[in-house]
Formats: sequence, structure tokens, C-alpha cells
Amino acid sequence: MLIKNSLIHVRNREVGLVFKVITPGIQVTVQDYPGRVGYAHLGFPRSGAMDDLALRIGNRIVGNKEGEAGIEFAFKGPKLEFMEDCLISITGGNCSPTIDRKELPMWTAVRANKGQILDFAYTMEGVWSYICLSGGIDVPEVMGSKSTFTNVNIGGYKGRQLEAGDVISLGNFEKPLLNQLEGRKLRNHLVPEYKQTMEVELMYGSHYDWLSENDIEKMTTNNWKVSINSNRLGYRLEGPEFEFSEKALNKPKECGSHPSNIFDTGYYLGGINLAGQTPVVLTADGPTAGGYIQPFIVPKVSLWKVGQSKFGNFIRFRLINIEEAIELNEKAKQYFEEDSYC
Amino acid sequence: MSIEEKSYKIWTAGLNYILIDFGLEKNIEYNIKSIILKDLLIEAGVKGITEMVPSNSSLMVGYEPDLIKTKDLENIIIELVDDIEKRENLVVPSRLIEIPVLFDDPWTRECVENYCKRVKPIQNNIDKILEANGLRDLEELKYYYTFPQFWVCYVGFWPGLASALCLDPRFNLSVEKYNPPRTTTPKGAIGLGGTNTSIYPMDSPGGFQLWGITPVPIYDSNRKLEVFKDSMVLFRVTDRIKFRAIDMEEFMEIKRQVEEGTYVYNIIDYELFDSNAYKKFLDSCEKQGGGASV
Repeated sequence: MLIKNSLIHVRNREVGLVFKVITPGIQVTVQDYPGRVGYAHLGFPRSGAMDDLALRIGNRIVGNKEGEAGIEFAFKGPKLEFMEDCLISITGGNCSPTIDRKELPMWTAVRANKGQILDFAYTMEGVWSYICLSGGIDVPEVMGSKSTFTNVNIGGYKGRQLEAGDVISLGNFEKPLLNQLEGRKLRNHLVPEYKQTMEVELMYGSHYDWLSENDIEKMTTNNWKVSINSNRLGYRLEGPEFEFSEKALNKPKECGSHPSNIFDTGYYLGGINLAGQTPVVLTADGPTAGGYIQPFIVPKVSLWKVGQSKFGNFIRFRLINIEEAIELNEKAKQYFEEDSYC
Repeated sequence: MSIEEKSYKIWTAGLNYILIDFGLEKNIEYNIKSIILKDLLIEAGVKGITEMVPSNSSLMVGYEPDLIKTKDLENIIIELVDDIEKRENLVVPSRLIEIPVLFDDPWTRECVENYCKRVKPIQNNIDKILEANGLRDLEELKYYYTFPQFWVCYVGFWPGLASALCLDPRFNLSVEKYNPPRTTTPKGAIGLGGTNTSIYPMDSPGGFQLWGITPVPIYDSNRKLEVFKDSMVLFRVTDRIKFRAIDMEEFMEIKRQVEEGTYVYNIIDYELFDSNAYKKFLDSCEKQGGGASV
């Protein structure tokens, strides 16, 4: 027994067991960025953070590489007990984090000491929040990513959501960073806002000529309600019906019987898939191919806004062209400049 | 020649994707073109491409606009597709993989019964396929599935899920999909939806009409069997499937071998698929006319 204990102790120091889950929250998983890229032809979605911006900022705050894995959750975070002193950041949806019941600032590098308890209230604004640990998380990479895809139990921590009693290890723990980075934060004016109605950029996808001009206008002139049947696979939108165009109504029978059906094609991350009358924004764990048209796509740089749209809240789309999308990409780089942190 | 006059269509989807659409009809040649285009893009070592998904009749190319400009990638693609379109014959290596199947098995039957209880009453899936295609009975369906070979035209929707088209037009079957889809389908179940036949790699949602089940895994995240040494996924595009009808006794025996890790897949891995030879075959089928018979 003694020997066993000392072994655990050695292991503890070497790989740094960092926290233990006391009570799980909702959909608590390990996710990184950009996820499992390059396996779509075998049917694997990218997975990864639903709000990649919040995860990447969280990592930068605690001195990690932007794409390092963090803990993601929706609506309610897990209760964790720290097993080692470490540096953490909480970003994303406003989830009122506390440590030993004392309020913690978000978007800031804060110290968590051995024995302290991190807890959360229900998320007020936004959906997804992130816990980033200085040094990252030690889980094996599966197909080049630490992201969890729970639907087939791969990646992350044992391929599943975190449960009570799970113990997570730090990827790489260097004590000096603790003091250097404590208090480092994203400048206030850059902290993303999660509004009741999110304005989300939209671009043309493919086969949009299967929609009528009216349909295309509907996309950008309505507030689309985010259905409660939304998840990491896709966000379903509720709004007016589509009438489709001649092309959708008179097509080869292989395309299927409904006007929104097409002979199966690859699916885009962020693609807006028209499943019958329901537009579905395909998100991190979304299918890689299927038989519905994707007349629109939310550019990658804006996809976090879809993720953070609360179920029951609204999305308003704004159609942009390639040049505007490139400009947005350039503008988003400011989040990762050293000047943006203080 | 402007893009409007070309036989294919290129869609610039957002800032990260290009979809090359070769046509909207069931045509194995479109599928092969999308696969050859994928191979040519890999060979050309185009930087910035993140993923490529060939499917029934199109190729989806994902890219990073920071690494390659949309217009530049489009031009490379147009040049390669024009080269493919000029080719008189399309030849790709194609493996033949035998998949043993238990037709009308208790697991898919139970799955359909559960759907009837929980969602809505629907027809026995095999009866539905027979009716939709004017087949007499299960024996005839077995013949329709075990005589021809099936072409794996894409892998996707779900990890490892293979979608296949019947290569012999005399045995074409089609049926409408479930509405709404099932929330669960047993691992190994095989179904027909539209003209596609799919094998379900694991317990997963689905909408195809089920007619049988295979004891051999087509997806194995533990990579226990030799065939999964390089990939968790058995099938890749250009594979051909040959179904073989088995009985319950053989089903259980194969299942035992799979669990033991001793099962050896029956795979022929030296053949080529030749589009001209295939066209000749299609012509000869047309001359024969009529449907196949037992």
C-alpha cells in the first residue's frame, strides 16, 4: 500500500494531476482548435471548440499556444477541486466563476491553488465557456487533435464528457509562468459580446440558385430563432418557409423528392444546410456529407457567434462577399496580438 | 471556354470551401472524376488545402485562404478538371471486399419494431423495398444484392459510414428514406435509401430502409483486426462491395472470430476499374433490356 501511494506521488509530480471533477456540469468536454482537420473523407468532423475565439483567447491569456486544448461546457460548468497550484483563465459565455466561493474575473489569468474549489453559476450570456490551464491538458491526440467527439467516443478524456471523480493532468507545467502571467487579461474593449440578437455574417454556399429571390432575401431580412434542438452537431433555425426555385423543383430523381434534397455532397463547417424547411448551421461535430443543399455558409471567422447564440434567442444574418470576409479575417487577428493583452 | 460553358460547375462556398459539381445524375463516371481530381490535387502538393471529400458526383475542397487565394486554387482546379475531361478513359485501382450478410435478421427487425412503437407505425422495411421495386420475395431481394457488385462512392456523414451504388443497372433498387429519421440503428445494419446502399459502422442515427446486418466491423477505433492497422475505417472510395448471404450459424461463427481477433477479411486488392470497359458493360445491359430474373 505504501509503495502504491508513493508511486502515485511520483506520477503526480511528473505529469501533474491538476484537478478532480467533484460534480459534472453540462456537456463538459476537452476541446482544442482547429480540431481534427483532414479526416472528413473518412466521416470524421473536425470537432473542437464551439467558440474557437474564446478558447484561443483563453489560451493566450495563460501563455499557451492558441490551439491548445481546454475544458468546454454549456450553460453550467463543472465543480472542480485543484490538486496542484496552477494558472487558469475562464472565457466565453458569462458563467459567474467562483473559487472557494469568491468571485473570479473572466478573460483573466487567475491563480488556483491546491485544494481550492472552482465552481460556476448558470451561464447568463452566451452558451459555451472555457477553462484554459497554463500548460494545457494532457490527453492523447487522436488523428492530430485532443478534441472530444462524444458521438463515437474518440479523443479528449476517454472519448466522453467529464464525470464526477475524473482526474485531469496538465500537459506541461512550468511553475515560473504562474507568477509572470497572473493577472494578465484581454483588454476590456476586445471582450466579445453575446447579444440577445446576434448579427452573424453570411456568405453564399452552393446551389443557391435552387432558392427563389424571395428565399434569399428571407435569409437576411428575418430574425432567425435558434431552436432548442441545437447542439454541437448543428444549430437549427426557426423562421419563414422557403418556396425554392424551378431548379429545385425539376431536377434528376436521384437528388431526392424534396426540393432541398440533392445527390449527396460533402458538407461545409459552418454551412447552412436546408433540411426540408429548416436551415441548420453545421457546427463542430456536424456530419461531413449528406443529401441537403447548402445555399449559404457562415464564414469561419464568424462561426463563434452562432455557437454563442442562446437557444430561443435570435440570429440576424448579413450577407458579405469574399473581400469583406478577408477583411474580417484580418481584423480578427487583433485578438492575438500581444498589444491586446495587459 | 468560360466556366458557364463547361460540363461541370464550380461553387465558391464562403472563404474556406470550393465544391466541384460534375453532374446531378447517378453516374459512376462523375464519382470517379471527383476521386481522380482529389488524387491530382494531392499529387500537385497544393498548399493550403485542409481536406477533400469526394462524394456521389462532386468533390468538396477545404482550404485556408491565408495560405492560398481562392482565385488561385480555382484556377488550379479548372486546369486539372479540364485535363480529366479530355481523358478518353478513366482508370482507378479498386479493391473488391466481401461483406457477409444475414438478411432479414432479428436485430434490424427489432430496430424497426421499436421505431413503430416509439415514433410511428411504418411498413416492414423489406416489404417496402420489395413493393417499391416490384420484387416478389426475400429470395429475389437476396439475388439483387448478392449478384452485382456495389461501388463505394463516398465515406462520410458518420465516421466510417460507406455509401455504395449498384454497378449493375439491371439490379438497381431505390426506396424512399425514413421521415423522420431513426435516432438509432444497430451497428452493422445495412439499408437502402434513394439509390444508395449503406452499412452502418456503429450504433448511430439513420434513415435508410434496413434489410440485413453484417457481423464484420467496418469501423474499429481500437484497431484490433489487421485490416484496421492503418485506419479506423475499412472502406475508401473506389472500393467495391460483394455481399454474400450467410445464415445465423455462420453469422455467430464470424462474430466469434471477430471478437477473437482472428477474422480475416476477404479482399482482392489488385484490380482496376476502367470506365470504358464499364461503359461497354452498361451498353450490353441496355441491349439485353428488361430486368434481371432469378
